[in-house]
Amino acid sequence: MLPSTKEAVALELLRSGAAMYGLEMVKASHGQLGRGTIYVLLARLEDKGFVVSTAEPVPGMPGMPRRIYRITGAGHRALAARRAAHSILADGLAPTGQPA
Amino acid sequence: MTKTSRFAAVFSITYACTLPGALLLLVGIWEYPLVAWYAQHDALWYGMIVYFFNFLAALLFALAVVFWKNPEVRPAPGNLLVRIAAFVCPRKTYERVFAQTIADMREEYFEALKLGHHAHARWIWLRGHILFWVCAWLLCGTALLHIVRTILAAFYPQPKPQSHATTSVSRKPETDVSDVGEAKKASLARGDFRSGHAAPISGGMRCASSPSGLLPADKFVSGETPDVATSVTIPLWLAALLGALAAIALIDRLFAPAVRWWLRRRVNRAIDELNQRLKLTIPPFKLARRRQLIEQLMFDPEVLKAVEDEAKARDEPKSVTHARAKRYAREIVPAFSAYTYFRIGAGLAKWLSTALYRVRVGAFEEAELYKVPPDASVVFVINHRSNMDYVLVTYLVSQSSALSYAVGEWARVWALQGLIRAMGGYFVRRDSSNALYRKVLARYVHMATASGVTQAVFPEGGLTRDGRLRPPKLGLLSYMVSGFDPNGARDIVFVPVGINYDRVLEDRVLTAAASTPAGERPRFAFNPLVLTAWIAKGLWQRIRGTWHRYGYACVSFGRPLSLRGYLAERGVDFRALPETQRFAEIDQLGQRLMREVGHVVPALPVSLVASAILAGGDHGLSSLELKGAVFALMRRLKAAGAHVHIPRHDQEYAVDVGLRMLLLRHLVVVEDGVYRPHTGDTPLLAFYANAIAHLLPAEAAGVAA
Repeated sequence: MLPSTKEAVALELLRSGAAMYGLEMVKASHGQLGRGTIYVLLARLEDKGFVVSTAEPVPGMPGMPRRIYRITGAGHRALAARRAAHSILADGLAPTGQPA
Repeated sequence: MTKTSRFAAVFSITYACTLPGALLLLVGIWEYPLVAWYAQHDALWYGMIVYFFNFLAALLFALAVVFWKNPEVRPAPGNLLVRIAAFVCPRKTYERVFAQTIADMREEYFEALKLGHHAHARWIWLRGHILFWVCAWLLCGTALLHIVRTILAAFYPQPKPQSHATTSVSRKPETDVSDVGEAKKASLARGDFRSGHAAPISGGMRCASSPSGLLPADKFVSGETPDVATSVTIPLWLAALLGALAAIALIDRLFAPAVRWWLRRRVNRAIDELNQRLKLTIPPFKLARRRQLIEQLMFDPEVLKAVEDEAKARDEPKSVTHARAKRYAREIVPAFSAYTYFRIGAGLAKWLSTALYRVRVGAFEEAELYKVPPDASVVFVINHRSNMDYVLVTYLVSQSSALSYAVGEWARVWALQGLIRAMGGYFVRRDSSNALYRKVLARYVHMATASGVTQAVFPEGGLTRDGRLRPPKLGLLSYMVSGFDPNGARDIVFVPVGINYDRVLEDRVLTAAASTPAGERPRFAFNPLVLTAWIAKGLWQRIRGTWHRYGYACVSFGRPLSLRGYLAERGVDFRALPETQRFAEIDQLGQRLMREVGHVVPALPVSLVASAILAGGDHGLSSLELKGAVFALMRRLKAAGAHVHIPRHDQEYAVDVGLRMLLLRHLVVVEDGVYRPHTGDTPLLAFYANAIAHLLPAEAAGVAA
């Protein structure tokens, strides 16, 4: 299955190879990702194999080890496939009705 | 302590302490202007003013102490949520979702506090708690959706894509799919990007709906709202079935793993605590799951070889023999539960032992016993006088270790079987000559011993019928020691244990079985009605307060025998010996252990008095003669190095106690001040006398009735 819109946003944030934790992603997404859903979303992405996570070796200020997420090869490909599908469908539904 | 309770405490103490001063002021002991003022005004008003100021001062003081620059240490926000999530959720879900949500809340909360935004911090706290439950609902919903989708997929399988892209959502009939990159589009629609062929696709596709909501709304032509989904109608029974299955799946996937994880965590913690307390730690083998142990046993090379041999000998498929061997393994392997053993079993054993007997520890080679290395496989070798032996030794050893017993197949009855398994006991068919069964049992006992499991064995192989020690049976002993490596890391240490009772519960049954003709299987005249009547009578006596215990039960622990030391002394290695020679050596070891056990069997009052009365014969003994005979017996036993238990360190009291028990049971009768054995009960008297007969070889012949 292709990643959903929210999943795509999360994958986009990780696409540059950055390793981020959930709250960082929420803040970086400028409101596109919510605090209540981000970890359920990331867990789903992890189950699908699009991201991997590792626990912080030393817990930071909250006193609980954070999970740091990174995008995988499958995640990159899923994102690319989604973009491609998006462009094909968008072009196909252009007002002129003509293929691009 | 919260601020409120601290405030209340400080205020009360201050007010109580200052009140006497205020009262003194009130009665005008001090020369104070107010007193003069009081003299001119009403006393009530004056008193009220003093009280008011006293109250106000105490209040201000308490407020100042508690709230003025007095920081309060509070747990981090979300502490309760952490506990709830850790209790309810599987570990993976807890770590990936809930712990992260709470960590986010804490981070933002502390950040807000740092900036002095207290109101915002409170809002973050509230929002964090709401988000926690939102996450929980989302997870439950996701799990349910997954289950429903799986079930629906089973009922309505999706058609495989043929020449063009098809998805689970419906399309308008006039959908026009262009001819560009058909294969790639099909791959794309399936989400087959893992293959790496999906990326950039050129060309266009005219499609009325988007597979997964990919398109922005403005891309749709107005007035052409696509038909994005088809409703599936399912019958009510199917909906109910799906609901039930979803509930089962929810319990199975979410609730049951959480409960299991929580219980396992508790058990592990309890075992860690236990291992710190116990002198002989519980080895991992004993804590391993029963299923794993059975598998381990079934894949033991020797068991596999025995299966092969048996299959050949019986000319049957190997799978049939293997299944039979597995049945044996299931029958033998215990399912030890530390909780059952230490919380239920040990408690019950203590209650039952102390309810029935005055339990005493006789000889105890303390210095030698404490020298036993903690990682050694300790085997308690016990004489078997009563079924109470299991209970009594479990109670006395529960402070040091968890014992594993071999239990006869008689105990394989519902409820009792489960309890015995949970207590770490393993069942043995004592008279089985089946080679495969013996091999499975041998390998289990060997594995347990090699893994350091503390065991208790009754080398006599059954209850004594006439009170004497029986010759050792070498089956279990040979399984334990045959594969012993004298140079290995783990030693086997045998601890001889001698038990004696003033009254054996099943003595009449045993002595009746002793009269079975040679060559026949002894018959135990067990009657459930008799047992029920006995229990009812005991309970009735307890209720009325007329219950008396059955005298003394004494357990002695002898000097431990290290197998490594024994083999070095004899210069042998069991593994290197041929079979006949090995059995001869094991027989020697068994004889030695039985001698050690016999040596530590304690002499109790009933045994002493029974011996003296039987020695007196039909002539009988007067009270004085009886005392003299028992005292002489005590001296001889002590001289022979035996342990004589003299209650209250009073020899006369010991004679009185022993005699009273025998008189109450009508085993001894008194006529004209002369004590004689009761006719017909001589075997029962001999049963008790024989318990210490081996300690006095010269008298043994005279006692054997």
